[in-house]
Amino acid sequence: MNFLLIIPYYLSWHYSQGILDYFKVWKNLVWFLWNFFSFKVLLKTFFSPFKRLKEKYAGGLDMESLASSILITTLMRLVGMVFRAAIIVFGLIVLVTFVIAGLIGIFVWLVLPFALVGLIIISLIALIK
Amino acid sequence: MISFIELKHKTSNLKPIVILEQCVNYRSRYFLNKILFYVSAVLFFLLLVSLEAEKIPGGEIADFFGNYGFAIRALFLLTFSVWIIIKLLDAFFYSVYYDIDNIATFELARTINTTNPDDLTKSFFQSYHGKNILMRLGVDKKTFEEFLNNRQDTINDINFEMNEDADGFLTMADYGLALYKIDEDLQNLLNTQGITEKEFIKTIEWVKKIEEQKISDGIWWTREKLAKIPSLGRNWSFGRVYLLEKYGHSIFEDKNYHYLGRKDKIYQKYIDQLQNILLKSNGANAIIMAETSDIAMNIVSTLGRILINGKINTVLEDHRIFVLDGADLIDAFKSKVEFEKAFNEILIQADNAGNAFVVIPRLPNFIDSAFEIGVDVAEILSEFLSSSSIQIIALTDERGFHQSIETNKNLMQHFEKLVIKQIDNDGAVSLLEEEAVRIEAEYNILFTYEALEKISESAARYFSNSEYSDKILDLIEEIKIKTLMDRKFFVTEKEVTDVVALKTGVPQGAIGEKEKEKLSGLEELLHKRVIGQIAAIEAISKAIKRARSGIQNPNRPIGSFLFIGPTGVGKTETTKALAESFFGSEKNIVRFDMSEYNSFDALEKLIGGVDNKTVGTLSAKIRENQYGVLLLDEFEKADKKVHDLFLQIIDEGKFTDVRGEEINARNLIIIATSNAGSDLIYDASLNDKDLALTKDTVINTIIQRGIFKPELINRFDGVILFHALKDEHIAKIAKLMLQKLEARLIEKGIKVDVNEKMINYLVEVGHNPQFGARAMNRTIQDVVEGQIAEGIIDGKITHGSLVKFDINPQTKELKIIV
Repeated sequence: MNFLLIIPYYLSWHYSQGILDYFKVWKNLVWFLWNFFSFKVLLKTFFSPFKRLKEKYAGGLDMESLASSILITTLMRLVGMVFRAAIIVFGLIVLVTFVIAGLIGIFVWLVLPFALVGLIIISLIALIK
Repeated sequence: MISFIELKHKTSNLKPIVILEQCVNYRSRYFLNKILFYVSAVLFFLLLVSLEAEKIPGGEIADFFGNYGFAIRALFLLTFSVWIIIKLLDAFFYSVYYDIDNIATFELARTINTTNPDDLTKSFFQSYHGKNILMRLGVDKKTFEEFLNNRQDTINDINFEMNEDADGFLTMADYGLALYKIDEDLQNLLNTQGITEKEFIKTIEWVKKIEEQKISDGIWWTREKLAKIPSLGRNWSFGRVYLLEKYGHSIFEDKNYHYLGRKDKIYQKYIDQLQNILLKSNGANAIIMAETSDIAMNIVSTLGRILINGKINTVLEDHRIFVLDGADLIDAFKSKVEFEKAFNEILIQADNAGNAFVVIPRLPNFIDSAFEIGVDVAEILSEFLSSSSIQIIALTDERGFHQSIETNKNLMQHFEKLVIKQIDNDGAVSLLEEEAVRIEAEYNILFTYEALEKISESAARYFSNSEYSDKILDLIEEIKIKTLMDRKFFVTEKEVTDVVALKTGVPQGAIGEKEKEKLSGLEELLHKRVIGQIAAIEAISKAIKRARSGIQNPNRPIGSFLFIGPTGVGKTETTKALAESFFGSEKNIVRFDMSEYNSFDALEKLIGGVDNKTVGTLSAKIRENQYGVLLLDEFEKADKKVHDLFLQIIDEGKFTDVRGEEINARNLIIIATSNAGSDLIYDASLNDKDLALTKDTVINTIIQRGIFKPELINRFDGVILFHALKDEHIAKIAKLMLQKLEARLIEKGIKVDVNEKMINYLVEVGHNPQFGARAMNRTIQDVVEGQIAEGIIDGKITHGSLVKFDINPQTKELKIIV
C-alpha cells in the first residue's frame, strides 16, 4: 500500500523539479562533450605544430637549414591541423546530435509516466492472452 | 529548543523518499536495476533475432520464434518499462536527497519516521542507521538487550527536546546528542562500555558519512564526476620532454603515487595553496618544505591525482608533472661540462613543452651532490625560474632548507615557500574512517570507532620513525591482517592493543587477569630478587602500577627514577627485575655508564657531533630499543650538559639529535643510579634511622654539594633511597647467590650442599658495608667458586660429585670436602 503513496509525490516531482533536473543533467552532459572534444583548445592551437615538433633554425644565411626548418615546421602544422580538424568535426556532429536528442527527450519526459503505465498494461495483457 | 513533533515536521520534506526507501530500498533498487538491465538486453537481442528468424536455415528456430516471438516482445516491453521506472525512482530519490531546501538529513528523516514515540532511545538504536551505530560503537546485542530490560526510565516524545544547530540543519548526530543528554540510562550504558560523549557523536557522524558516500557513488552526471574523463587532443599542442622522461619519470609512475592517493583530503588545504602559487604568472615556482622530503612528495602526488581527475583550476588543467631523478642525472654525467649541458637541455625542453611542472625532490641534496663536481645548480636553475612556460616545484626537508636553500638569496627570490605540517589527531581519525570503509568493502571485517581512535593514539605514542599518516595507515593494515588471520569479524580496541603490544612489547589495553595478578604481586616479585629494600620497592611498584593503569602523562617517559644508595645494595638488580616484570625480559635494558660522559664532548658523544657527522650513542641506542629500560649508571659523574639533556628528556619524553631528528623516549622507563650522598645513607643505616626521615636531608645535601640541580631531581617521578645492607640482608643475598651457583653446577652434574654454616662464614668474612652485595659476590667467587674450580681441574670433582664445605677447625677457613 505504501508504494501507492509515492505515486502522487513522484508525479508532482516529475512535472516540476524533475523537469529542472532534466535540464541540469542535459546541461552537464553538453558541458562534458564540449570539454571532451577540447573545442576551445583545439581551435586556439589550430595552426600550431603537432606536439610542438619543429626543426630548429640555427640562423645566418644557411639556406638549406632555413628551407628544412620551414618544411618540417609547415608539415607538422599541417599534421596538427588535420588531426584537430578531424576531432572538431566529429565532436560537432556528436554535440549537435546530443543537443537535438535532448530537446526531443523533453517531450518523451513529459509523456513518460503515462507511456510506461500504458506499456506495462499492454505487455501484461499480451502475456496473459 | 524544538520538540519531537517539530523535529518530525522538519524532516517532512524527505518523507517521499523515506517511504520509497521503505518499499524498495537503495540496495534493492541497485540490484533490480542491474538484473532488469541485463534481462532487457537479452530479450532485446532475442527480439532482433526473431525479426530475422525466417532467414535462418532449418525451420526450428523460425518455429520457436513463431510460437514465442510475441511473448518475447511483450516480456521485453515489460522488463524495459520496469527498468525505466526504477531509473526514474532513483532520479527522484537523488533529487529529493540533495534538495537544497532540506533542513534535515535523509538519515535523520528515515530514523524519525520509524520511531515509536513511546520509546525514542530503543527506536533510535533499532532503526536502520541506529543498528549500524551500535555495531560501530562495539556494543553487542546482548549488552544492549540487557540495557533495554534494566532501564530505570524511557524517553518518549513528550519529554524530548533538543537544541537547534546554529545553521538550523539537523543531523543524526544532533538527534543522538539530544537523546544522550536526556537519557541517563544511555549515558550509563556508554560509560560502562568506555565510550565518551565525543566518541558517541563521532561514531554517528562516521556512520552517516559512510551512508552518504554509498549514495553519492551512484551519481555520475555531476560535473565533478564527468570532468574525470580525460578529453581528446589536448596534449597535441604541447611538446615532449624526452630528457626528463629519461632522467626522471611522470608523477603517475612514482612509487608512492597510488598509495598516497588515500590522503587526498588531508592535503587539500596545501593543494589549494600550491595551486595559488603555481597560478601566478611569472616566476611561479614553489618550494615545498616538510618534516621529510617524502612528505613534500605526497603533496605533489596529490596534485597529480587532482590533475588527472580534472578537479583543478582550468589554467593548470593541461599541465603534466615530471619528477627529476637528480641522483641518476649526476651518476650519468660525471664531468662538470657534460652535466651542465644535460641539465640545461632538460630545462630547455621542459620550457619548450609549455605545460611541464618539473619536480626536484631533495633539492638540498641535489645542490650538494652537483657542487661536488663543481656545478652550481642554483645558477643554472635561476635562468629558468622566471620563465612563464616552465614551473619548478622543489622539495626539501626542514634541515636541508635551512642549511642550503634559505641562505641562497638568488634562489629564494624565485621560490614561494609552502610549509607542510603533520596532521593532528582529528585528521588522523578521519583518514582512518575512510581507510576502514575501504578495507571493509574488501574484507569481511568491521571496525568500531573506538578502534580507530586507539590506532591514532597508539601510532602517535609508540611509533615515531615515520610520518604520522603513514604510521596510522601501516598500523590499520597490520590490524586488518591479524584480524583476518584470527578469523574475527569485529575490530575493537582490544584487537588494536593486541597488535600494538605484540609490536612494541609494551603491555597495552585492559589489564588481563594474568597481568592483574602479576601487577598486584609486583612488589613480591621484586622482593624475590632484591633483598631488604622494602621502602624502595614499594615506591617503585606504586609508580609502575600508575604507568600501567594508563593515567600517567602520555608525553613523558613511562616512568623515571633516581636510585640513590651505596654500591651493591640492589639498585641494578631492581632495574633488572623491573625490566623483566614490565617488559618481559632483562634484555630490554639499555645501559649507559655515565662516568664515560663527563668530558667536554660528552653531549656530542650522546646525540652526535656536528663536525664529524658521527651518530650519537644515545640516539642510536634509543632508536634501536624504543621500548625498555634506560639505565644510567653513576649518573652523578656525567657532565652538567648531559644532566640538562636528561632534564629535557624526562620532561618532554623526546629529544632532537644533531641531525635534527626527533627521538622518542616516551616508551622507556628511565632509571638513573647514583652513589651521591651514600655516606649519609650509610650513616643513617648504621644508626638504624628511618630512611624516609633522612630522605630530605640526603636530597638537600646532594643539591648543596652541586651534584644535581634541584630542577633535575624534581623532574624524576621518584627519588628512591636504597639503604646500606645489614648482616641479615647479606646472609639472604649470599644464599641467593649460592643458589644461583648451585643451579649452574647442576647443569654440569655437580651438586653443592648449601648450608647455614657456610652462609654464616661467608657473611662474617665477606660483609663489607661499603660495598654491600658486591663484596659478597667477590667473596663467593674467591672462596667457593675458586675451590670448586680447582677441584674440577684436579679431577677431584667430576660429573655426579656432591660438593660439601666445612670450616677447618685449625685455620678457621671454609674448606671443600668432596
